[in-house]
Amino acid sequence: MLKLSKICVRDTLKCLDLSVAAGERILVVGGNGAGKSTLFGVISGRINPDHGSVVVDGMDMTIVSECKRTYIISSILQDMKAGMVEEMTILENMKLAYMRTGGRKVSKGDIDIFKAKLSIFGMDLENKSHEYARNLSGGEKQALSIVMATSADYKLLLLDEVTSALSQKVSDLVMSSIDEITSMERKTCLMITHDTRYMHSFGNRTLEMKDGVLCGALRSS
Amino acid sequence: MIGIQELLTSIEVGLILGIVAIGVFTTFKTINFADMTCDGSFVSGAAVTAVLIRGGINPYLAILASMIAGGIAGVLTAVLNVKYKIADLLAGIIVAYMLYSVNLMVMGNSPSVTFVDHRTIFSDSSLPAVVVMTMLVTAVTCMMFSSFGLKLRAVGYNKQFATTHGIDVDKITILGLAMSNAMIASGGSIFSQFQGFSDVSGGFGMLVMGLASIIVGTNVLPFKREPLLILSCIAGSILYRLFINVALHSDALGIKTQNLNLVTGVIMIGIMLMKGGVNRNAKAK
Repeated sequence: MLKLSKICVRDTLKCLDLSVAAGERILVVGGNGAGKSTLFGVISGRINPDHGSVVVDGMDMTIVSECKRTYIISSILQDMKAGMVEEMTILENMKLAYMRTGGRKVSKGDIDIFKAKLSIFGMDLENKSHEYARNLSGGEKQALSIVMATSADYKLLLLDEVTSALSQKVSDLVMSSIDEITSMERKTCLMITHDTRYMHSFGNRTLEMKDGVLCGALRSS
Repeated sequence: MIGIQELLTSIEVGLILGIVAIGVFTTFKTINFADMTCDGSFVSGAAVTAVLIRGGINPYLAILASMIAGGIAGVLTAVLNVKYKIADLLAGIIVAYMLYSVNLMVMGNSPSVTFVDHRTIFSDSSLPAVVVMTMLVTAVTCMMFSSFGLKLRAVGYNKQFATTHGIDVDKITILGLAMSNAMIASGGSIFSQFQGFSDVSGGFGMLVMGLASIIVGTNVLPFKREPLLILSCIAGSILYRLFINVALHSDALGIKTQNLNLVTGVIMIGIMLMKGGVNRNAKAK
């Protein structure tokens, strides 16, 4: 599904190799400056590697722009504001989310699926479709950005420190909801986190990253 | 004292320049791009119209041609910004500066071209012009409700979000500026047909007028949803013309005609201080 070969980015990533099978859900842990966000930047296309190749679903994506990669790679960044347009309503954000894969018209069925996913979080967001995103709490915003990232079709989901700004209770809820959505849809998923509490509970594999290289699996199933 | 005829003329001019205000609104508020091309593209629309109408071309086709000319100017500004990374403000200033020479060339190196004896959309009555303007406003409002309008707004509000959600920010910016300057040029075209001449300096102050109309309109009318704010631009433009008329008739208060800009500026500041400014980012902070 995802194959990174000999990826080098200045001094941040050092000849990194990674293979992820379809449907695998992997947690990447590591300290500050380990190169986790750079690794995600390379996969999403935000950062061009100095050397190496990025292959997703059999297609060489190394020189494909970030915008074009979003057709198959969906990502949620640490900054909640990047996951939605706060000045738009939940419904307008939903329409934008469905445009990621080419801008097809949103059907009533799409809206129902979107609301069903929102209901997984138990925050009553499904009944607030005309609410402006700026009026939502931090946890609600993150829930909305996760549902937006997983609404249109995607092959790979990248989650970058999605719980870092949330309280423990909301983090647990968000993590279990992500687990539920990604396992239900059998999608490939990579998540970065500092939070070691989820090392043994999220996904199938936990990898540790240190000084720009993947040291090995802390857990695998 | 303002006469009824003067009042009607103010409303008519306000409506025409409301089209320009919509163009300015699209760049400054919707896609958050400080586009200074306006003063140049307005004259481009007027210049193309004057030359074509004098050449016997249908005045409606002249509006269409002026929109193409304005659209090209907008594309040029956008390309300088998105491809060559020249700051939005500077890119617009450079293009507007160059357009002065281009407009002069279009008008046969003459600073003014009159076509009062030729047929325009105002020849029989003002109704055809009102229909054209209604069509333009309806088209832009519908566009704002469409998926393209949603993308324009997303790019203006949050470029990082737009990129991570598959919106080609560069393409949308280019299309947005093309559309905005096409609207501004159509305003120039209709205004020149209203006046019966085109002047190479006619665009001076159009940007300020557009911004002032946005400030007045968005602060006076209760609309909050972006697509409906388009209507606020038209209302703001009409109110702005009425302010100018008041300023021109303020002799009784000891204010002279030469104080026009000062008086209208003070009225603008007053409205801004009442409810906030034109820059939504500053407002958000």
